[in-house]
Order: sequence, then C-alpha cells, then structure tokens
Amino acid sequence: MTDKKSEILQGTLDLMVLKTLDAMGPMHGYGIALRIEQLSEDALRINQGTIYLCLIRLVQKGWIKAQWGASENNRKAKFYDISKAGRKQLQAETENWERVSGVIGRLLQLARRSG
Amino acid sequence: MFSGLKAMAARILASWRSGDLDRDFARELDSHLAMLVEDNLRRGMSPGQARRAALIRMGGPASLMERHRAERGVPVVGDILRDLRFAVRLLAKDRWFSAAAIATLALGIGANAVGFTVVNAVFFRGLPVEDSDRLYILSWQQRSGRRSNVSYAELENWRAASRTFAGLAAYSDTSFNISDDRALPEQVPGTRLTANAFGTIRQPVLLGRDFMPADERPGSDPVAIIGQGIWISRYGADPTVLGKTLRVNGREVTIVGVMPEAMNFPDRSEIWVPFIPGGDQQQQTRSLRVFGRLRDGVDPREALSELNGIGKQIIAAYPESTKDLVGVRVETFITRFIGGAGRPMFITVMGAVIFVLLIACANVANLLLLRSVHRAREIAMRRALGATRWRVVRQLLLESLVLASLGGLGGLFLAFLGVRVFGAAMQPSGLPYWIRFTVDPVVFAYVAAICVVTAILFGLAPALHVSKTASHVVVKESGRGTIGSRRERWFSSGMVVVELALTVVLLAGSGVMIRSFLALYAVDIGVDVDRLMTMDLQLPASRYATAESRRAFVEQLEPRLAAIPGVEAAAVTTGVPGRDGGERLLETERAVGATGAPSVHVSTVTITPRFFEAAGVRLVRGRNFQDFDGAPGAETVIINERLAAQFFPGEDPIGRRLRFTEREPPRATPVDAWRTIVGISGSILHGSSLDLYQNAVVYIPYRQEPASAASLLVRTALPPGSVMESVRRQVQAIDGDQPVQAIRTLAQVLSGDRWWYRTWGGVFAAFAIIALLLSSVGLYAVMSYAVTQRTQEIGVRMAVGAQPQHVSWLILKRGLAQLTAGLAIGLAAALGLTGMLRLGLTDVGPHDPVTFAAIATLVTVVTLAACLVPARRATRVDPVVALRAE
Repeated sequence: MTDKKSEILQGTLDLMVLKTLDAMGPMHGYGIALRIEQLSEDALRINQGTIYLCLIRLVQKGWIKAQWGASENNRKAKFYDISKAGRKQLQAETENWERVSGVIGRLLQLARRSG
Repeated sequence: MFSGLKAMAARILASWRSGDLDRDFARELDSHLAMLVEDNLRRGMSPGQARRAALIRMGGPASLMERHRAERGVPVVGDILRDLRFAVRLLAKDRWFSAAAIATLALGIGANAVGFTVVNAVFFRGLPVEDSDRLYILSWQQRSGRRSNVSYAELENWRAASRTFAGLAAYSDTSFNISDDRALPEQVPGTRLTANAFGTIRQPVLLGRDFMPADERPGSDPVAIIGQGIWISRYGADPTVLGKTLRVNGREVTIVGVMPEAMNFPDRSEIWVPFIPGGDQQQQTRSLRVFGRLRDGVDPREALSELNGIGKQIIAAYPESTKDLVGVRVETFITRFIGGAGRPMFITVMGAVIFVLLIACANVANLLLLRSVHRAREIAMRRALGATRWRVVRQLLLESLVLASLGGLGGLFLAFLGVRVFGAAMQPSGLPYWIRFTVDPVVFAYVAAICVVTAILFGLAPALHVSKTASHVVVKESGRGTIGSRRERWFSSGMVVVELALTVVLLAGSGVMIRSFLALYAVDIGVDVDRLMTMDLQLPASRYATAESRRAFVEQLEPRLAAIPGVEAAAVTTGVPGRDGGERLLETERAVGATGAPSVHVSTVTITPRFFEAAGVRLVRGRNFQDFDGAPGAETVIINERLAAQFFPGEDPIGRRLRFTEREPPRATPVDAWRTIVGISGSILHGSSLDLYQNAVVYIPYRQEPASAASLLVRTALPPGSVMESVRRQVQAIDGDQPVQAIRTLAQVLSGDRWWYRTWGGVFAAFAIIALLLSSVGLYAVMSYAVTQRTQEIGVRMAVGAQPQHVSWLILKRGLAQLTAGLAIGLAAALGLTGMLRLGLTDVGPHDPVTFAAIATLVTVVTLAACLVPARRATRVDPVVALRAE
C-alpha cells in the first residue's frame, strides 16, 4: 500500500469511526470493526486489528474516549465513546466531505457532458 | 492546532509509559480475538479453525503491537526515555556515588545561582515596573565628564521640545522630618517629584490616588503619598489614613495615597511630595533628576540625538549658566546608578562562582571516570551487541544530565538560602530599592542552562573516553577492568591537576580580595568609636529659614546636652569621624600670586568649638575655635596635619590664609573671603568613602556656615544606650517636631558605611571555603581510589619484601607530581588574574606575597593529607588479602 493511499484511507477511516460512535453510542473495538465491515460492504478490505491504530490516534487527539467495561457476554472489553471535541470535528469533517464530494460530483458531471 | 498539540503531548507521554500501554493493548487484542473466536464457533467452526480464522481476520498480534507503538509514540523520544529510565535506575543503585556527585554539583550550581542572582538583580532587572527598559534618566554632560542635574526651567524646555519621550518627569531626593500627634517625630528619606512621575514609571498606588497636575501648582493644598513602611508604623495599616494630616518639615500636609510594599522610588524613599517650583532661583537651580519613558518604537539613540539637539540650543541661548555643559546623557537607571564602581565587583563575583562551578565539574568528571571503570564491562558488552559509540555516549551523557539536574535542584535550594542570607547582609546598604536579591524566573532559566552545560562539561570527556574502549579488550578482562589504564590514569591525573590549578587561582583571587576588604574594614579612623554617639540633625528650611535660627538652635542645644549626666562633651558637625561634610577646591594665599597655582580638592567639615574635645583628638599646634570664630571679620579655620604637610611643608601654617574656590565660579557667587589658619589638629579620617580617607581636611566654624543638615557628636562616660533617652528629651524640649532617632554609636555608623567591604569579603570567603572543600574531597576521592586500584600490586610488593615507607612513597610520588604541576599552573594563572583585580582600593597589592604563600601552603597541606591517608592504608594491607583481591 502506498503512503498516499493509506493517508486517504486513514482520513476516511477516522471519519467512519467517529460517525459510527456518534450514531451508535459507546462500542468496543470489535464492534466498531464489524460495523465498518458491514457498512463498507467489503469495499474496504482491511485487517480488523487496523481499527486500533485509528482508535489510538483519535484518543490521542481527544476526539474519542476509552474505558474498560464489560461486553454483552460479560467479557472484559475496552469501550470507546465520542467526545464533545470529536462531535465538533465530525461535524466539520462531514461538511467538508459534502462540499468536496459536491464539487467533485459536479466536476465529473460537467466533464461527462462536455466529453 | 489544539488537537495537534494535545496529540503530540499524548504521544510523548505514551513513549514514557510504553510498558503499561503495551499491556493494555495486549489485553484489548485478547478480548477482540476472544470475541471473534466466539463468533466463529457460533458459525460452526471447530475450535482450531475458529482461532486460525480469527487471527487471519484480525491480523497478527505481534505486528499490530509494533504498529500500535509506532502510531501512538515518538520513536526517538521513546529511545531517549528508555535510556533515561535506565540512567535513573543505575544512579539509584550507585547511591553513594550519586549522592557525592549531586552534593558537589549542588554546591557548585548553588554558588553559581547566588552569584547570578546578584548580577541579575544589579545589572539586568532594572526597576520593578512595566517595561522598565524603556525608562531613561536624562542628565547634563559636563566638560569634566561628570553628570549634572537639571533645573526646572530646563526641564520645561526639554518637555516642550522633545518628541521621543512619552513624558518627562523629575525628582529630587531629600529627607523629611515627619511628625504628628500619634508617634514620635522621625526623619525619613523622601523625595519631591513632579506630579507625572509615578505615571511615567507606571507605578500604581496601593491606596488613594496618585499626584495630579493641580498638586504641583504653587499655592495648592500640600499633599503627600506615604510608603507602606510609614503607613504600618504610624497608622497600623489603617485604610482610613487617606485625608489625615501629617506634619512634613513642620508643615501640615494631607495624605492622599499609600504606596505598596517595597516601593521606594527612586532610591530608599518612604514619603513623596509634589515638587512645586518656587521662585526664580529655585527654577534655575540644577537640583532635579529628569527621567522619561521612551515612546513606543523610538530607539534610544534617536532620543539621545534629539535631546542633544535641544541641549545645544539651551547652551547656545544661555552661554553664561551653561558654560561647563557640553551635551546631554540619556541612560537607563542601571547604567546611571551602577555603572562605574560596582561593575568590576559583580563581574569578579561572577568569575569566582564560575571557578567554583568548574572545580565542581572537575570533581564530578573524576568521580564519573572512576565509576566508569566498573562499567567498562557493561559498556563493552553493549558495543559488542551492536550499540554504536554515539548511542553509548548518549546514554552516558543522559546520566550526566540526570545528575546535573538533580544537582541543579539541590543548587536551587541552596541558592534560595544563600540569596536570603546575602540579601540580609546587604540590608543596611545604600543600594537603591529596585535592586532586590530574589530568585526569579530568569535565575531559574540560568540554572537550567547551567545544568546542561555542566552535564556536558563533566560528562563528555569521561563518556568519550569510556566509549572508545574496544569491546574485545574488556570482555576478556577479569572484572576489575583495567581498561587502557595508562590512558585513564593520565586523564584522571590531568583532572586533578586542573582542579588544583583552579582552586589555587580561586583561593588566590578571593584571598587578595578578602585581605583588601579586611584592611579597609579595619582601618583606624583615629578616634575611640565605642564611646561616641551620633545622631542626624535636620533643620528644615520651612522652620529654620535663616542662618541665625539654625545657630540659635545649636547654641541652645549644646549646653543642654553637655548637662546630661554621663555626657563628657557634645558638638555639632557636618562630618562625624569617618565621614566628611563635602569636598571643596582650596587655594592658599601664596599660591594665588603664582601663575598656574595648584588648587586641590580637600574635605571640609563644619564644627562647633567642642568637636575636638568630643572626638578626643588634641590640637597639635595653635588654638581651638572660640565662640567668636566664624563671625564676620573672624573667618578662621583649623587644618589637619596632613593638609599642613601638603600645603605648608617645612613652615608654620598658623596665621596663613586660604580660601575656597570653584573651577568655574557662577557669576553671582562672591569670591570667598580669606580664612586664617588658627590651629592644626591631629589626624581624624574623614571621607564619605574609604578612598577619601587619606584626604587633607579643613575644619570650618559652624558659626560661619550653619548647615541645615548636620550631626550631633556626643562623648559619653556611660554606655551610650543609657544616655540616648536624655538626648532625645533635650532635643525635643527645644523643638517638639525635631525627630530624634537612629541614635547610634559611631562604631555602628562606620560598620554601616562599610557594609560593602564586609559583605564582599564574606562572599569571597564563602566561595573560597566551598572551593577548598570541593577540591579536598575530590583529591581525597581520587587518591584513595588510586590506592584501592593498586591493592593487588601493593600486595605483591609487600609480599616480596617492600618496606611500608617504600609503598607510601610510591603513592605519595604521584600525588606530589600532581601537586607540583597544579600549584605551578595555578600560581602562574593567579598572578596574571589577580593583576586584573585591581579595584583601586587597597594597600594590599594584587600580588600580595603573604596571601600567595598562605594559599600555596594550604593547598599543599590539603593535598598531602589526601595522599597520606590512603598511603598509610596501603601499607597496612595484608598481602594475602591483597593478592586475592579481584
């Protein structure tokens, strides 16, 4: 995987994790990984463990918080929850994403028409 | 960005507690894997399959762990932090070594911090107000190179013309007699200043208000701002003090403000009143110090050239009154008040503390070197396992840094103590209020910088030395590690020589300083100071406007004092023994005829007739003053022996005449009348500074020049304390507002005047003791370690029949060689260096042979002791034990 590709992936993954936590509330890493696999419908094929690199990054930025707790089956697991700063970031990123994808979309449409 | 910073901090933190985070992440992965396996099992896989599939889907834990570490931490920081933890562990293990090194460094760094605190306070900090570096003092520059104060008329002129200053203010220092119905009258240092003065320095009041322009208009209601000292001592810090009245020099003024603690602008003032320009004469007198705040963005040089332009115009417009002026000086408060005499002193102190630090560094470097022998195997092992030399050096330097930092902490603690002691010692001094010896952030920064520098100073050489060792040499060695022992011995010997030389230089420098201070401190002023009492007398112009009124006060006072039981004699003088009443230019009658006649500065002292009786000094020739001396037509003087010898060598001065003159007399002043010499006194040393002690003195009758500021001089048969109350009562019986305080014995006054010498003498003595202590301990450690290292060799020698003396000599020989080298280098350097210490104060030459001999002896004795003790121990070594020593 080249660096550029991973950078894009990183940003996308961050956004997906934030969105997931925002929508679903506190979850453990396994749960987040399953949810993202399910949403991306295999478009993003990554090892589940990779999710933890994203999680530690978000924790260090202060966008999500982690806490040990008990899972549904009463197993010890670390739960992640989005923070206030994380919500703000999610909102900003969402707006940014929509703007950019809007622009790209129009551009592509234009290109198709003239082509 | 904020989250970026936060993430960086989190990453560095993560590197520090890497172990904890690893465990945490491992648990997290375990739990993840377990859940995956569970799900797989539910889908019907066999346990083996389930686990394999789960591992594939999750990714390998080992590689995830590695990537997790990289993601959350900073790689280099991680390494360094690991080294740091290792260093801390090692130092904790070698407890005694660490304690010795840290204590040594703490002494060195502490002395340094004290020295720097002093230098910082005096040279760098300036006034404790906002942007004090924008405040400048403006004075006239005289042709002679001296500064001159400024008159009010000139200030007005500068104010009108200057664009570079955001406001010009002025002050004039004085002292006031303050009194009220609450407490005894007292005399306090005070200042008259223009109403904008506090605004200009941006000094807010604690209570009440600042002066307003209306306050300085002639005829306005008199007001005053008092300092916290008066507020507490006279009013018990009562907040309703505002609006109360206080008599200042006998005149009622209203208190409008209180200044905060330790605010004594410009110098040591306790009370401030507005400067109200009086008549024409007051407007023209150059009595003001002018200062201002530069406008933002204006360069001081711009201001200087502007002011010089304005000054030149004034000089051109008033050639008569400005003929000795050549321009204007624009200086910071620090340059204005410290420049000159203090500078070499503080630089010398700084030099001394740096020497102390270097000695400490040499000591610790030696300790590190000794210790590194034990570590040779460890280091060789690390090199053999692939550590680069740089990595090893970094590790060792980090250890040094940890030592230095701990030493720095200890040093700061010592500095706090030292600064407190020093500050207390400087308390009775004449230092301006803004010089306060406190440990501030700048000092912290300095100590931090010093820690790094010392760590490199003492750590780098041993680190490079040890890391150079080729790995195969040591791993083979049996454990006592005699790595390149020849080279190492050279290095160690070198450090000892350096340390000895540094110590000798420091001791010699300090010794010369201490000796000269002692000489000055103990100087004999020619009178018995213990039975003399003195008290300042201030007869303010508002109450004692005329010469007659002042004379009347004194004439009333003297007999009253003389009548007090226990008082043998009382007199009034402008210069008690040890001080003078001002310098004047003198010319003799005969010299006036001759062209190019020399006129010379002499000390003048105004006295009442019983002065010599009170001082206990006899007249050598002629007669004492009588009551009529000093009346018009009876202008007489008494001169001291030194003046007689200087101006009238080989002749009788009695009956000859002299007068005072000025280099460029102002037009208005009439020429001084001739004064006839009627007597010659024995020598009393007068002089406002000790440098002037040798001056010739002229005594003038008080009747002729009744000064408003003078001192009482009282000789008592009883202990001075027992007559003080009677003196107070007699003074206040004449004038109830006359403050009587700080009645002191002359001995006390003189020790106050000489704080400078006492303090600096003490400071250098302390540095010298620290240096001697450090280097003796260092020498002892190195010598005894050398003996321990040679235990085996000594055992062999003894076993084959060497005599104890022979063995002792073996040990001593090396010590003596080092001593000789150290002394030679040190003495040579000391001779060069102390030559530069000429502070213009002493009879003690910079190459004082007594001091040098004493120091050489001292260092020799200490070194020999440091060698002999281990040498004796060496001879007692049991050969059997020694041979087994591994």
